[in-house]
Amino acid sequence: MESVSRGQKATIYPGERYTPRERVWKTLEHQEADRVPAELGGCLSFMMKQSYFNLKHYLHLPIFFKEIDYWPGGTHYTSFWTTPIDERIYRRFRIDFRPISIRFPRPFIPQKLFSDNSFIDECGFHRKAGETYLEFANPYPLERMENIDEIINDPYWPDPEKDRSVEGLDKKAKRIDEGGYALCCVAPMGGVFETSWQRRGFSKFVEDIYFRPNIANAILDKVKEVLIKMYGMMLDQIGDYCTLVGVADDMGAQTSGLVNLDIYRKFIKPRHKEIFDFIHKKTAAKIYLHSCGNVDMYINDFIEEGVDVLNPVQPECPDMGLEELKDKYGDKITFCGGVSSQRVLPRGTPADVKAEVIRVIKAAANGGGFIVAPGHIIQPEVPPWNVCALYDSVIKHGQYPIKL
Amino acid sequence: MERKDILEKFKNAIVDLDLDEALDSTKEALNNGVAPYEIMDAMRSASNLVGQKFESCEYFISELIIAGTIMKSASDLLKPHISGDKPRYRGKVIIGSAPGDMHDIGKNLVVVSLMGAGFEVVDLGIDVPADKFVQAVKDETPNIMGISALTSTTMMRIGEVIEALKSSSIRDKIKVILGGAPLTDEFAKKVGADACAKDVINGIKICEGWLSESS
Repeated sequence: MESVSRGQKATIYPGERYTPRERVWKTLEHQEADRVPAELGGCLSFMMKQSYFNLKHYLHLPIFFKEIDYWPGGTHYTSFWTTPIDERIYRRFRIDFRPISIRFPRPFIPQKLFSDNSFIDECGFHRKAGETYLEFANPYPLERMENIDEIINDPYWPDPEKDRSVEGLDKKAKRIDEGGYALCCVAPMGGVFETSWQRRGFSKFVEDIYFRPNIANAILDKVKEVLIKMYGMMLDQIGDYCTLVGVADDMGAQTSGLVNLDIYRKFIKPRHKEIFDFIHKKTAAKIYLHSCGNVDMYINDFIEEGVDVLNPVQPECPDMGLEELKDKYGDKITFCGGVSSQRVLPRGTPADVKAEVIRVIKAAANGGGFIVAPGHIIQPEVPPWNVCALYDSVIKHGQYPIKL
Repeated sequence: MERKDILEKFKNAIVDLDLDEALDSTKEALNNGVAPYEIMDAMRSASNLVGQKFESCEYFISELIIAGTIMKSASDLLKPHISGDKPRYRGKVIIGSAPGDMHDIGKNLVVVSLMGAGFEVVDLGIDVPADKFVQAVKDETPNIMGISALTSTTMMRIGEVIEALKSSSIRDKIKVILGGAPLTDEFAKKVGADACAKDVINGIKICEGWLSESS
């Protein structure tokens, strides 16, 4: 594969009429572009490092020193969740998006290291490396605290102004923008709900909501304040270049929502709205929400809050069939995802993957408002030929008008 | 207030997710000489009603957690009163996350929900190696083993747990139930498990069904 640098102009291939950014904007405006956009690692659709390395081997691409980390057993850790994707892979798959995020300006050092090798990371989460990934570890950092002052003054809350840097972000954003790609600005941490429970413990935080709402509100407000600071720092530099601003807040389990709608509307929705309104003041970009699982019950509220794109749309979850979602909400929101990552990508053949891509395109691409992406993180065991089959099929079958 | 009214109040408090009322009525029941096992029976029927509300989408994961917290707090009040008397559990479950799997939010919810439904539960934790599952079956003699996995990668290691049970000749002594986002009935069948729970409440129902079959 030819060597390319990030920011080099996007290639407009035979049969295409738009740059990736133009294609994405048309799609977001619910119009049919020249083809359905494709996403991998450009917004908030991730790939585990093990499958990424397999893909690089398969494509005869070298693995760079900066892509290797020091955790044992192939576990990956990046302060920015998603694996940085090699520009040659982005181009090989014709990915229309490129990510940008606030930088962590020095080598990663755990804020606190425990004797079992678990540690407090730079966002204040207690993490431990397992065989394939880093998981949140017990006890959660704020789990045993009982008063608000102790919680709010915990020394491990992230402080973006102190710990992060946006130096050079504007130049990078301008380069990507001039290259013709859709730039997505993402924060290296989740939204108000997931960050709150990741610091407090899931059950404990739900108990706070029910029994100690003042503590729940204090934690949510603290997270909101950190996120607003982080997005503010980034968007003051790059707001003019962004097509999307990504926010990750998982609200669904596999079969149902995590919290009831009253709780969502009382505790979470107002803070989402405040963050999205703040983002809208800083940029004309659209809001891209990553929210896993069955989130059907929240989608109307997401739309009211100002969400423009919903990812990852897991097809294995009840109520998350693209056809039904498109019918119900298709004129108000764009879907990004939908390709089976629990079943077809890890276990299917390339022919199955191709059939899956055709299925999602048929279900959701007509009239725009759809971006093809995996229906969740590409897991370690996903074979590289299936990843190739996914994006090759978008190139082959995603041309508008859809004739499938 | 009559005993059955107190128990009704206790049951309703759990279903309505009212912690204070549930604990007050537990104390009231004990003070009025209601036997702890009768209170546990009331808890079981409350747990059943909470499950029905989950199935009808009135309740969500958040409410299952709160109901679990309330039932656990009520059980803690009962414990000192049942020390001399062996608690009447419906059955015993050992449960753990599959080897390599470090997720436990779903599993922990299953643990408290099973306890609320009247099961004795031994929680082996996360990333449980096959030999630890085997040893727990030998030590604890459970009726049921639950294995949880959240990712399509870690679910592939459930098979090694079941193989270890077979090679230790104890597979037939227990029922094995699987749970976790990517798992399916087909997968459960393929690896030699007895069932796959589609969610917490479905899992409890399956376990209850097995025990009523065997009794």
